[in-house]
Amino acid sequence: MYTLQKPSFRLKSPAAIFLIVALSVFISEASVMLLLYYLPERSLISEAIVDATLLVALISPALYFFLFRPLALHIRERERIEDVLHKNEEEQFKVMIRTSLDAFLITDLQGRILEVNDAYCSLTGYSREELLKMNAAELEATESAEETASDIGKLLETGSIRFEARKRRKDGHIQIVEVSSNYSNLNGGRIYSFLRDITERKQAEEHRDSLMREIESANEELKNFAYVASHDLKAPLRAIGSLADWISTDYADKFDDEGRAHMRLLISRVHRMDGLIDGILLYSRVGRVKETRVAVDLNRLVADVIDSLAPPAGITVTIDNPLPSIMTEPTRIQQVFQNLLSNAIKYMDKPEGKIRINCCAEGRQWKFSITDNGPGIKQQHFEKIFQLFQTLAPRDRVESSGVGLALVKKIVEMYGGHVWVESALGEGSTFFFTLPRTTATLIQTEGTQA
Amino acid sequence: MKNSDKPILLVEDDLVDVMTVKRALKEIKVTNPLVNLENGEEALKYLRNPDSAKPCIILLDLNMPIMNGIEFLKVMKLDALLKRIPVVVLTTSEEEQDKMNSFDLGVAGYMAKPVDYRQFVEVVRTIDAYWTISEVPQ
Repeated sequence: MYTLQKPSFRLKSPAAIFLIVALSVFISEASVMLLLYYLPERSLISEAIVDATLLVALISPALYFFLFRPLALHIRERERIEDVLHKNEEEQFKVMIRTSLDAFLITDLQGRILEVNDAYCSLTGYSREELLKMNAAELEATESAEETASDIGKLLETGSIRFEARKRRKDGHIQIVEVSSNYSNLNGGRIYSFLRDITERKQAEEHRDSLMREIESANEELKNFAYVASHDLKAPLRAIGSLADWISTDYADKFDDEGRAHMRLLISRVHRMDGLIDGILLYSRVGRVKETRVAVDLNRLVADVIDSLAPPAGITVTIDNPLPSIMTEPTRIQQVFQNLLSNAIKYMDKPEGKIRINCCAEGRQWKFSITDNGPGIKQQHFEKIFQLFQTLAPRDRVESSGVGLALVKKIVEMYGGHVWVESALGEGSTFFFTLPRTTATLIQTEGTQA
Repeated sequence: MKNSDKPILLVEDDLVDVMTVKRALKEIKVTNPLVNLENGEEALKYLRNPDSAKPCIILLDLNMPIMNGIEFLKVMKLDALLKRIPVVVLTTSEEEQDKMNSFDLGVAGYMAKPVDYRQFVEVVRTIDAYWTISEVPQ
């Protein structure tokens, strides 16, 4: 029995030992993992554990073997991996800085240059070795030391700033740079800055601004020129008109029929020239004289225009659909309808004249049209009729200044619209123009409320 | 005009325009003497001379050399002895700005000179009719 029992005990015991060892290894590994999991990265505790390992080995070999040794190994491994990752990150960062087209610079809070990239060297014209001995303030072209200090103060407050600055290159050239700086409190405070040379962009901007000023002043001069010139032309014209009138009155008995006809022509030409000058004045006034924009109910305005034009009995003017209310200068929009409608009436060649006004919304615009069944216009004249002083009929047949459509075009385009004509010779013409709807819609709702 | 013995002061530099006004006044049988001066400065000199007869009305052109119509109005309307004399602007300018400036300076009327002489006569006739009816301070 005894001999029988012993082997059974012996048989049992390796399994038990195995079980105990496995269990302790499992418990120790689990506790190591648990400890590692809750241990903060690179904490004092992990350092203390590593330091205490040897001491623990002396006091309690079991504790050393099962807990402290694996724990210390794990901690060291983790630190090694972190170091590698960190070095990788640093390497990546260095490559990024080297690759950057923008100049890069690290300084301390006193402005001493600690690191630069190649782009910074070529921006400033100094070598890296020279720069590392310099203070960033030495490169400032216009900024004083106080201003630099205040910039740094601002940076410390907000953490990052962006500004424009003028830097002096080694060769003395001044360049304009755009700077983006960030502050970090690592190693007693560091300022990281990216700089971009914007000298060319700035010069282009300045050039553009000066061109704009020139254009504006030329434009201003042109506007005034038309006004002053037409004004000064009127005085002598009036004198000619008056003198011609007096001559034909005072010496009526001394003129024969031909002389009287000539005097009539003279006076009628004075009137025509007066009309032309008025046209220039009218045309130059658009855009020069600004009215306040108000909500205009086009239904009422167009009705008033038709009324004032008093179309002859044979001509009917109809409005196809209700017109919108738009935000505009009343005089200008009135001129648009007045000119388009008076043309349709003036040139009507059919005994039964039909003029129709239509409006529809098209995308972000209102599209207006004025259709007549008059003589029509040849396609080759579609562009020409919108030019100043261009008329298609001789002025002796239809008295016209040639300003109307040019005025319409100028007004419509000033409002961001577009004007054009479609026509078939003998059948009639349709003049279209568009006006932006953006403000118009808003005004329309206001209109219904009121 | 209410007082046919008081002169009409015409401040105008254009010779034909002066002839036009003279002829129109004659045509509508206005008998007041006409004093013509060719700019604002001359007109002020005349008005401030104690020997010259005070006009019943001033017909004022705006566009003149040396001192233009608006400049003349600015001085005249600050002068206690002159500011009540009615001034009718007679000009080519139909500019809103000129009209505003003129009325800001208290003009009694603003007439655009028509190119047509016949119309001009009508303008002068209307001015005369109005200032024949209207009372003016002595």
